[in-house]
Amino acid sequence: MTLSMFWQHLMNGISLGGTYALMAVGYTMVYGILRLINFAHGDVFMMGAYFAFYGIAIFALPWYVSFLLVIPLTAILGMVVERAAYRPLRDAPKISTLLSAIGVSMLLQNVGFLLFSGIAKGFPRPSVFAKQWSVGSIRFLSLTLFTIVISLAALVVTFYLAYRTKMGRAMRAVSRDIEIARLMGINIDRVISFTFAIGSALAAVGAITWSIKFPALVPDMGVVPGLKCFIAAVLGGIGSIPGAMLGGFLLGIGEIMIVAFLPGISGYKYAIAYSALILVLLLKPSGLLGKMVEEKA
Amino acid sequence: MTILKVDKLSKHFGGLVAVSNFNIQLEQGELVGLIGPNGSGKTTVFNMITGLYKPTEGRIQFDSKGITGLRPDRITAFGISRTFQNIRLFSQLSVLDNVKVGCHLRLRSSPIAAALGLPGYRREEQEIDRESTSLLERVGLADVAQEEAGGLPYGLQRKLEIARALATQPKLLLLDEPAAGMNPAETGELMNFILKIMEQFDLTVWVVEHQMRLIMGICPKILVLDHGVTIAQGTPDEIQNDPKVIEAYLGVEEEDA
Amino acid sequence: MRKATGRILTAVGLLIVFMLLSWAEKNLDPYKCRILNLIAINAIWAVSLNLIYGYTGQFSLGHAGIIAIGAYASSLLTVSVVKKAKFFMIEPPIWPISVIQWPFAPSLVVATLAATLFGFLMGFPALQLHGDYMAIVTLGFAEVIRVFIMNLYSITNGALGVKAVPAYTTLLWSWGCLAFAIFIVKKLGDSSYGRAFKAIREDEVAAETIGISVFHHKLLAFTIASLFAGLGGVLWAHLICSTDPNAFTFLLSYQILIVTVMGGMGSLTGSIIGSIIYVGLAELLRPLDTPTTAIRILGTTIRGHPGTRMLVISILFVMIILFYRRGIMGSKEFSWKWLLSKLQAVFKSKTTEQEK
Repeated sequence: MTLSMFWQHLMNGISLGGTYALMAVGYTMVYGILRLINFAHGDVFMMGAYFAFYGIAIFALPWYVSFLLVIPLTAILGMVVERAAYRPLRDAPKISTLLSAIGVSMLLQNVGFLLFSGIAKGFPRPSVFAKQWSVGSIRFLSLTLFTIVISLAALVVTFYLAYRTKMGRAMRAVSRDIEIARLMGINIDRVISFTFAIGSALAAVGAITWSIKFPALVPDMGVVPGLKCFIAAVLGGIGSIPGAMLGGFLLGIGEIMIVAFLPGISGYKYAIAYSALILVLLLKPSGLLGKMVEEKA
Repeated sequence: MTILKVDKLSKHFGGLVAVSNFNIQLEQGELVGLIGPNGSGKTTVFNMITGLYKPTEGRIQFDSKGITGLRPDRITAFGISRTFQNIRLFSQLSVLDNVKVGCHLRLRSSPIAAALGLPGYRREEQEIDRESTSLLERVGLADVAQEEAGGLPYGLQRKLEIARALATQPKLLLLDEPAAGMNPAETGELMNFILKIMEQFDLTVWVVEHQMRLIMGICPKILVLDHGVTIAQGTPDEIQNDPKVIEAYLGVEEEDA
Repeated sequence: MRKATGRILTAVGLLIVFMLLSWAEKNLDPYKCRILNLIAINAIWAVSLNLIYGYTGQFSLGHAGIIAIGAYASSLLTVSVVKKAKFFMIEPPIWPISVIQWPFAPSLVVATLAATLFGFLMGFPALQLHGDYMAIVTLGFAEVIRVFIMNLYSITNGALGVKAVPAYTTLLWSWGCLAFAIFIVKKLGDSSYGRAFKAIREDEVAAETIGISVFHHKLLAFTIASLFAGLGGVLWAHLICSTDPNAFTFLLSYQILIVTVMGGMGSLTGSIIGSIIYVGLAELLRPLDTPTTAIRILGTTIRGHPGTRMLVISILFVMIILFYRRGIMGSKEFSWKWLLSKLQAVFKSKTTEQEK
């Protein structure tokens, strides 16, 4: 293992971590507001990837147009899901919303299988992403750098929206205490829709960065990344946006490093990630950046 | 004999001090009241004694056994039972079943014996049925035994919660604002009820209340809590005339300029 | 109606059912027998999930993992030594798997116990969490089990799966086990333990204050439920005569969830009804999956396309969650008293009509 190889792996890790961070932020935002694990998030991610693919394949749009259009499209999908499957259950026992989320997740996968078939589709890799670059003795594909840049840009925008806009403030208020926020006149429905929109938009960006790297699209491609990103969100501290970003990067780097340094157990990397999740939930449920809050009986 | 001894009990939630240096000693058969304005920490004291919160500091001894920081179900097994401020019944279970659940902690049969309906279990089940039915009769809830607990009127729900607590055969019963939401007539009934069960079941009772009438009416000994600190202790007369208590409840009188 | 009368009716009813099943075993074609077996197995799984969720209020998505343990354990114990040596192609089977070849009954017992043990291990960390987190952790556990199965070639033959599993599952076995499961779970549910479970479901804090050791009881329910999940897995493996890791994905846990929700969480009768509907629907809608077949509804013909079947079922599931959450039976059970009162009502309305 040479130093340059280490930097290469690190770069790949950060690149992968960027994608994970995007999805993890989506999970954490929805959880912060609704206390719901949005099972369907990974499948919205999948839809985003397919939207981008079909934008190019069927509508013959230039790739940059397709990629940009996908973001609002997927955001709309996320809002539709919330409106149709979660909002009607706002007053029902918590478990119903969870069941609904599971149902929607499977539903989206079924729709995917029906419309797109189970045969893998090849996501286009525009040539600008396929260039071989090198800095010193470190060699990498241009897409690695680009995905890092795109992820960071999206995260910066999210940070801005969450901490510098009125809507973002409203969102954080609702996260803190939904009843008080309602009493203060905040339109809860709008805030929730906004949260889902941002989360889904981020998932779309994540889907693009993911698919450029791993171009085989299948309808259940969102399942494993979805669960991994949820783990990342918990690791970083569920409900905390910076936590989710941190968790995403850590997970990405960790995954690449394990595959690189310990190839023997790489088949078990999923198991390792899950064990980490269980340990965190049992020992420090607030994650790395979350706050320990003792619940009042 | 001393049944409960609490020393220097404190609870901090992060920076907030909910209860500070709480001390009390209860003799068997006593009836004690704990009062104080809203948010003074009364329920927090109960929660620490019954194991729902771990005390930040302090020791609790029940029947000469240390119970500080134990799990709630272990504490109940020792003989302390309680009711809640917002009634926490098992709403979808019947009235009778609610009480029967209170008997579960004394069950000796294993789950296998229960699942197979072995004679040892069947005998215990009959015993539970007898005890629970008798308890409902003594409390005056026998006619509604098969009703769903959640459908009962408020006053009866309170009684049921107390009956359920009695089913665990406690030595010490903690009542958290039992008169909440009751009109004067109902409160009077409750007062008699408490005195009656104390005698019938040989209990020591500790009541937390916001309503003065109940506490002053039946508790010979009263403690007053304000912002987590014990500010007075004594008989109803002493408490009523204590300036610190009056100040805590009504605020300081404005000095005329 | 007295208890004794009810018991006699149940006994007679069971006798009739089992006579019918024996007849069916000999006379119906294998396809129909398979359907009946699947109904029983899915019902056992739904009963198991009901114990965890309907009775005790805990949410587990890890059934696929426990079922996998039961299925794999029994398969590995029963497949002939010769065949094992043949299809363990990537790595040879380790001892004692390489030399074991047991008959059905002992394998069933051991495999079910293995599943129960894994249920205990899964429940221990998972039940210390609540709601959504418990769901994710149980889901993760099941996936971890699957990952291990996929990677341990010398034990499970990895992704190649175990083949040539002897076809021991008959209607009498599957429905017999279902009767056993319902008997045990119903008895437990009506007992003091059942009341404790339901108390936990209603209000955990209050339950603990009343002296119930909440964690232990949750673990008890979970472990017993895992016993039945594993039992179902054994029966399944010996029905489809093979196991492979792809059969035990979240899709399986989801399927059981659909059955239980459709029938009614908290109703054992509902578990049977939900299973009948689900298996029946899955079969009826089969033509939707192949382009060469079609089904006719209301005069229109719908051509098949792979994936349509699952889509319809998923839509149905979401509809039920949104609009008919309680499922068919809610948490009520079938009882002879209820049947009698319904018959009396029908009889009464018929006689009043005649009098008019």
